[in-house]
Amino acid sequence: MLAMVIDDSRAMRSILRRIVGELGFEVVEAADGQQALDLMDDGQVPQIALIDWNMPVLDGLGFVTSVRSRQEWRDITLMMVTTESEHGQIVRALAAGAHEYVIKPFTADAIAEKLQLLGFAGVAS
Amino acid sequence: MNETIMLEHRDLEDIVSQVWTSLMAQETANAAPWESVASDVVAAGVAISGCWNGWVVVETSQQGALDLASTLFDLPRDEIAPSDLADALGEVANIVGGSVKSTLTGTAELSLPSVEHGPSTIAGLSEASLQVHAAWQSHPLRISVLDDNSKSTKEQS
Repeated sequence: MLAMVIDDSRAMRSILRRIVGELGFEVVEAADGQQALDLMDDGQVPQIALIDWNMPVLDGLGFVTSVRSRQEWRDITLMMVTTESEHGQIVRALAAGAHEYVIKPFTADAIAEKLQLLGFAGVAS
Repeated sequence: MNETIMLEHRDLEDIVSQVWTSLMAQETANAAPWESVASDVVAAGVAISGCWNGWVVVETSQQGALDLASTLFDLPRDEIAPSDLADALGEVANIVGGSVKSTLTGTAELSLPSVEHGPSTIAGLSEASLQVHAAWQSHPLRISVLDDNSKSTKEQS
């Protein structure tokens, strides 16, 4: 099962890669929303994407909106992992098509719990 | 006009403690205020713009930033590149800044982090009204929250 970690911070991508990797996912990384879309267009389509909000080039909300506009990507689970905690922004992301929302800082257990909630029990194999 | 930030010293201490515990599984300790800014300081700042305008800045020593990057990347110190060091401290500032922003009642945006090697060029940083001094693995930490007077000074410089 493939997870895509989308964050402009390499440190944060490294942290999330370790967490979801230990849960059994293969992991691909992207430094912004556009890079993630490019990877997906090249065939690296994940089952789940963990998405930062505040990124250069194309932010997390723009990525979610783009993914949801593509019929062939409708089954991808989208989880925001971000410092953005304003209620209105959370509502915007969920309305745009994100399934879950995790606010930084988080623990590895919090990520695992959210993935279980999203149906990745076990989590990935 | 700035919204009054409803953040007290204890709240900022709690934010710092939570960030270090969550990200690095390690505690910070209280420390005495810096008498002067060391020449090897590394500073990462994020700007908050909107109902409140200002900066959140995280500073530590070069060695502290190196250990922080080593911990976040889970790599030996000798494998940490200068860009990794800036990336890691910038992300910590981003998360602390996001937590500070979450205490605002109105709408605001967080900038991407900027990182400076050497004393920060953000004017008024040493006199920030809200400042936490801490230590992590014996490295000095200073986390400052300062309002837009300092921000406008930086933009003019």
